[in-house]
Amino acid sequence: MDKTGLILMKIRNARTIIGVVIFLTIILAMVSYVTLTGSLSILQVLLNGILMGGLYGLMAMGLALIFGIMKIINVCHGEFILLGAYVTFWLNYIFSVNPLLTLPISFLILFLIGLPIGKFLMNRSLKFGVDPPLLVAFGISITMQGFMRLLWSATPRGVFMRYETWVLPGGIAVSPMRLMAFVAAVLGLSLLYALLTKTLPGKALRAVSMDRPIASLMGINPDRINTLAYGLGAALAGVTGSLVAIIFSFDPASGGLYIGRALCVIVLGGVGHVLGTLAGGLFLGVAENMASFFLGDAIREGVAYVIFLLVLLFRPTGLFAKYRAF
Amino acid sequence: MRKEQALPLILFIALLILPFAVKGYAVYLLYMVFLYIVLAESWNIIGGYAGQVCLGMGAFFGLGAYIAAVLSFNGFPPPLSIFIGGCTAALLGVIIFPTFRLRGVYFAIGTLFLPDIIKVIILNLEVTGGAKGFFLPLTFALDLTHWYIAALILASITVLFAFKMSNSRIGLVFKAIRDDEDASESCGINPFKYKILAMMLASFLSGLAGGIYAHQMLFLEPHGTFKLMWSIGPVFMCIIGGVGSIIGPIIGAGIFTALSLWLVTLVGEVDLIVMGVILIVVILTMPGGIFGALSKRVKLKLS
Repeated sequence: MDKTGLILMKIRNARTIIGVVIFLTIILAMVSYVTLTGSLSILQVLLNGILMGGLYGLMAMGLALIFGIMKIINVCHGEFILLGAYVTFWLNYIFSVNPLLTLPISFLILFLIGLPIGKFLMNRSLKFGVDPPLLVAFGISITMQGFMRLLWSATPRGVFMRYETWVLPGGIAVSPMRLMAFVAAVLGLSLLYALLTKTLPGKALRAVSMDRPIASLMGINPDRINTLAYGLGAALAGVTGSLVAIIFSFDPASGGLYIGRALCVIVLGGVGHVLGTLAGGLFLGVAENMASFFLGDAIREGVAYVIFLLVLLFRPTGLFAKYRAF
Repeated sequence: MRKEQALPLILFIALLILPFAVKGYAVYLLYMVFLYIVLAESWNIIGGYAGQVCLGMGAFFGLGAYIAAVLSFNGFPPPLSIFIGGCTAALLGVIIFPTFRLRGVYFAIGTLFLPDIIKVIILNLEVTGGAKGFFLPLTFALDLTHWYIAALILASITVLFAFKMSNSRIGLVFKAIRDDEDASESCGINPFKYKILAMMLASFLSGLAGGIYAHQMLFLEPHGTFKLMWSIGPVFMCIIGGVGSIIGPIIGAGIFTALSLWLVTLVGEVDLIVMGVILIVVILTMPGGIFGALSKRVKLKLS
């Protein structure tokens, strides 16, 4: 079959058509809004949403990786993100390291923290059934919260990077920090994609997530892959945390905010696609910013939860995924 | 009167006259233990017997607290408003029926966000005072003894109810759903209906506990009333004590109070660390909780 035939087959897919129609409707609605009101504020909201969305995608990627391979929902992901944020904060505070240079450091530190947790707690609890891993992750989450509060106090922290806001023609402002976070997030996701498709451990990871017994017949040790996946997931959370530290202020109890958004994104994007996760993140970012623009800033925190429940109830495969993850 | 009935009765009467003999922090600690027993036993109905791990019990507790406080403020007698608060919480338990389509971990995650949704709603309402919080006037202030006795009676009713339920037909149906949902469905049980019933019972009792808490505190604030502890606490107590037993949650409530209220005053803010470590160790080493481990070793026959 030639190339055009393939494309036609893809277009015939009903889901694609619905997606295109929804996308065009949104574009049309936005164009008409801009022409009717004559203000470009909606484009500003859209841009903010997209810049935020990249970070949300990276936030969810670690969770999606762990879920895809170990089939557990790592509730302590929010605390891993906070640990990464604290790494950046302290390196910046004590040694005044540029926050962007701390990304690999927090990747490494969180990888080293994640490996033993995955090996000694998660792998062991997996043998008890479905609920124990979730509750163990819950226990880790409380413990880490307690440690962070004990060691670094409950004071809200943040990293300050002083850059002028760029103003594009038309009065649209771009925050350089958010742009940097977006670029870093997309770069990180691309690196992960390369790791998963090109390298041997990445291929082993994907094999285990597709079919565990067959993968172990092919000579892959599933327990070791579990540990690797957990470490990698934690490391991705650490990188996310470093970016979170640049943009938001954080304190030991704010992990719940991030885990909520990350869960929303993987429910939207499905598990197993790097691209799907990125798309889910962008969707959530835009939806959150649109909702807080039109309906008031108070509901910003609620948007992720509402989307999460709606998708879980009415379209459990996610908006972009091909197979059912939830 | 048989021996098994006499012991709880003596304990109940002893606890009833205790606040007239002892004063101070011990009474408050026991009052909190009773509230926690209500929360733990109600979580035990949905999580222990029906096997649906619900991580959002704080939503029902907080909603009951807010409804009771607002109604009392507007002239309802406190017992009636506490009751209506419980009923509203039960209504919320029914409203979330779509989440019962989800199974296992997905149900847990689906209910994890329930407190946050209710919190966002309450933050944006005029009646509840939003982020400022909601004050009950000092005319509602009563001696702690009253609320101690109210909490004791509620806890006793809850434990008695859980005991009667665990041996009744409904309790057996819940256990059947927990053990195998598909098999129980093939036996002619409608799991969806019974899950809603379990949720309704659990949320009603949590709502009542919330109402008592609101009237004793006289002040409610969204972030504190819907904080994660009210949701994790009951799960923690049941897991530590022993899921699916009557005595387990009571042991768990005692340990939880000792850790969260008493340890903090002794050592400092290490309660979260100790709780987390205990939770992990108990899950990994004794799946039946403390009660399960004890009854296996001593062959207790209590439930």
